[in-house]
Amino acid sequence: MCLALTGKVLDVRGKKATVDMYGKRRKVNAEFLKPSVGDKVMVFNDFIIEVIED
Amino acid sequence: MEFRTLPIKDKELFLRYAVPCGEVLVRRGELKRELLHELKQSVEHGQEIDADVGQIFKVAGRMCTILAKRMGKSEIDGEVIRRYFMLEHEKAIRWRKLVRPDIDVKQCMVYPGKVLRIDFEKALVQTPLGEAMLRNDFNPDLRRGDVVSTHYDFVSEKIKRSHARKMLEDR
Repeated sequence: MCLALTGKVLDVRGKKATVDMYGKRRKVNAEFLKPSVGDKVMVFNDFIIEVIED
Repeated sequence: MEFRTLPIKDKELFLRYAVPCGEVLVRRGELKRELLHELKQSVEHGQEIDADVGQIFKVAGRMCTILAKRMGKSEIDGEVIRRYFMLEHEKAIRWRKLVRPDIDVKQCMVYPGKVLRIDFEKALVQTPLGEAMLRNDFNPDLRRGDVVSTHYDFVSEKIKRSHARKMLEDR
């Protein structure tokens, strides 16, 4: 099942973002959305696929 | 900025791979059982599908969009859908398991298989995991010896031998 995971954006550099996911930092692809630091995002296969609105 | 899922050209094919794991979304409260049943019926009866299936199965729709864009396409066609579910999907599932091990990888994966026997609405299929009696709601003309793709407890579709070989080679 394609179930995305949530994370919090720690840093954005160009098309890459560092996201805290369950206490681990992962560098993910942010080219399809423009997240900002502090955004809650949905990630799947190291791609940010949604910025979750508060 | 919003993620725009590309239009899905072949919704029926997309659903052949998405519906089998729809029960997981139902259990998580993300999809109504009635809608899942309607979508399944549409595939079974070859009915036109109006629903926005890329939004209903949001993650798969978005992953197919990313793949389509990388392939230089402006819509999600059969080539994109098969490439995602037959090849890229496995990497995504393994990624998912690595980051958060709360899923059963074996169950989530799409496998190739060979039909050994047809039993009414079920098919006995030889898969890399062994023999499995699977639901055959989508392929009424399935015959012994056909090469198929399988997802969860469903036969998704008949596939070319070359596709089955490619799926096995990539693993």
